[in-house]
Amino acid sequence: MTVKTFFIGLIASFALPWLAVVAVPYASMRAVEIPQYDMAKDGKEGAYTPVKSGRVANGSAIYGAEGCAQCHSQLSRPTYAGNDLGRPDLAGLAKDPNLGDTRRESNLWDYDKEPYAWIGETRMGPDLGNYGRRMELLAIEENKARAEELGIKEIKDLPVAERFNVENAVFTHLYDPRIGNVKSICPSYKCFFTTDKVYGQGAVNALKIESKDGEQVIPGERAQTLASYLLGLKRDGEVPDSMNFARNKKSSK
Amino acid sequence: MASEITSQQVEDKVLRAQIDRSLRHPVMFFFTSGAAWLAVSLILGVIASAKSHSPGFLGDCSLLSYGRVFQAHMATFIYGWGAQAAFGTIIWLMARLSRQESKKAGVILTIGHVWNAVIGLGTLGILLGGGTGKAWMYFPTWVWPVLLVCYFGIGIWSVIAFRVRRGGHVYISQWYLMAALFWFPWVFLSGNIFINTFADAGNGVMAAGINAWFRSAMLFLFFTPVAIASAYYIAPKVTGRPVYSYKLALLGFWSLAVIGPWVGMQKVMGAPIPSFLQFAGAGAAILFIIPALCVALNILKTTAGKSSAVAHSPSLRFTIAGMIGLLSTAVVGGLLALPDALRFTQFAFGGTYGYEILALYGFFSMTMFGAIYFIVPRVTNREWISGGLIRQHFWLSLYGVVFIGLFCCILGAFMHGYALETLDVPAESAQDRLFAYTVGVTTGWVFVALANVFFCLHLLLMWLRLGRRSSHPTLLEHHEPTLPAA
Repeated sequence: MTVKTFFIGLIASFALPWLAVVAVPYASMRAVEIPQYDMAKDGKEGAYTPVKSGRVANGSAIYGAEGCAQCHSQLSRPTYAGNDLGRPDLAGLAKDPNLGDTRRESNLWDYDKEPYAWIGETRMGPDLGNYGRRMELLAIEENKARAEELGIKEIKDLPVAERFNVENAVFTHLYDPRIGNVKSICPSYKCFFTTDKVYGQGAVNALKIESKDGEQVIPGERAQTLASYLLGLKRDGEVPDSMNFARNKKSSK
Repeated sequence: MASEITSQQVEDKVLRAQIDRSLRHPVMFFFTSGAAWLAVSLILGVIASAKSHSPGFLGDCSLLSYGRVFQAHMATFIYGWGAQAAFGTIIWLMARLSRQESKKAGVILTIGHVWNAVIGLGTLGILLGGGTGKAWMYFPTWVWPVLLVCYFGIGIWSVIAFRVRRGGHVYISQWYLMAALFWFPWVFLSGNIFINTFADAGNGVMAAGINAWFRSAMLFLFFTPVAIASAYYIAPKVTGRPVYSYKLALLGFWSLAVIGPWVGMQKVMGAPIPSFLQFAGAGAAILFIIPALCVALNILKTTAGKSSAVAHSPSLRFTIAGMIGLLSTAVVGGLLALPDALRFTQFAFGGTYGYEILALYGFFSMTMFGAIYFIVPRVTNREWISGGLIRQHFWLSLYGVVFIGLFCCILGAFMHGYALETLDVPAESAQDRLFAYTVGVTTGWVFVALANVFFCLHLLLMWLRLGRRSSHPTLLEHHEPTLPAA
């Protein structure tokens, strides 16, 4: 083999896969056509632009820097790749009180606004793709239970002070995951919190945990950003008919 | 009459000694600092693994939180140990094979120091919360361009040495080294540019896909060819036999070149990226068995029947273990990538980590240890002090990596993965299963860390030129005298 043949072979054997697998997909995925709703099949028109809530960009960066993606995935795989759609609360909610079964596979727009999609390495902890939705459901159930305890008929009549504070629940988990689940192996992020003296009634977002008399634990900036990002993780619900692969999809007329 | 020594042989010996002497400082620097980073990486690995089953281990200090420590562990393993072991081997092997003394040892040594400084700062950056979180690119984003510039300053001289090589025939190791020297910048640059620099211009999911490709390409197109080049040098040298089949060697090289760049995106199977990317990755991961088999077969056949050499020579023993590691990597990687298995192993504990450790330690590092045990006596003109230290290094490494491979890749990946996939097993109880496997992995890392205590100590003594002055090499077993003394 001459050096010339060697280089021709090397370049050819690398350039083809590099173009096919890296460069061209990178370029073409930069501008993917936005799916459109179809009047005939979906009953409405317009672009599919799911709205993201929470501090997505900053939260995503903290999520990465803390290595959350090492133990948590954020992907609902189609059935050819896994059984994620069969779980009751991974790909959405199987029993949403208002919408019924909202589970679906992940699509490209679920990761919109994040420069890097945290698909994840392992599931040593739960998949977080629909963490926001699970917390929503938890809030509804907790409020219902509390309302029953207090003898109030409608949740909307429940006083604000008695309502389940979702954000606080996330902060508590970040502060010490073993408070909610003693078997959790999630790291504690106590460094995101400060312990301050209580003045008067105490801070509004102080954690409701055991702490020394006269002291309160308050979430710092990173905790608030991360909690906002996590609570915004809602990747379920309706998609245009062209992207709907559900078995119980209504067939077009 | 005594055996004739031709003037050609004398010339060769002198040239070899000159080459070794010229490269002593950069090579020893790369190996010693690489070993130091390996020690750091293993300590971080033990901490990370311990935290995965005992989260309260070492308290709640933010610098030691699992996510940050794990990132630092992998970053230092790959770029602190792996890259520097590779550099030391590349520059020495290419100089020897091209029969060219190095005149740029000072430059290479300086750049080696810069590399270490940058890795040190980068690791601190990760532990302080500035890491990116992206696999195999964990360092803060200012690090990679500096590393790339350093690489050019180190690698270019070996390319030049090849260009001005003496001696007509190009040996197979030289092809592998040249390929690695060209693949690395292409892979490193494009991976980092698309994922870090142009992150906002691209699509987040595609970035995750390219990251998966990057990890695989770094493994198959940089670490693998360097290790193979080393094996093809050491096996014939130590046994005194020619390579079993040169045609097989070329087949192994070109099949790696053709198959290697396609692997990687099976890691994101099921993500919303074009499915041909996912399946091409899976298929190529399975096909990697072809180049692996060619190389392992060739090396094992070259040393077949010379079991005493394998038993006695530290470099050959580690190299053969590395070749077994190569086969294991290829087989396990193929199994994990079979789409029917991938649904279980994709997010299972150890499905990716275990495979990467098997590849990086069981194959690459074992082969590099073989290279180091061969090269260091030649560049320092001293022999290793103790066969016992080398034996400890070998067996503890083997136990450790087999433990990790077993608990991660086989038990963890399939048992945990099976529980995750089986719908009537609640997700929480799938996570309960982890405990045994994570403890197993911690144990494995403790073995490996112990092994490398012996290694680092031994290497440090050699670096301080406290090795044995001797005319015969340090061997692993006692020679039984076959003739009576008198």
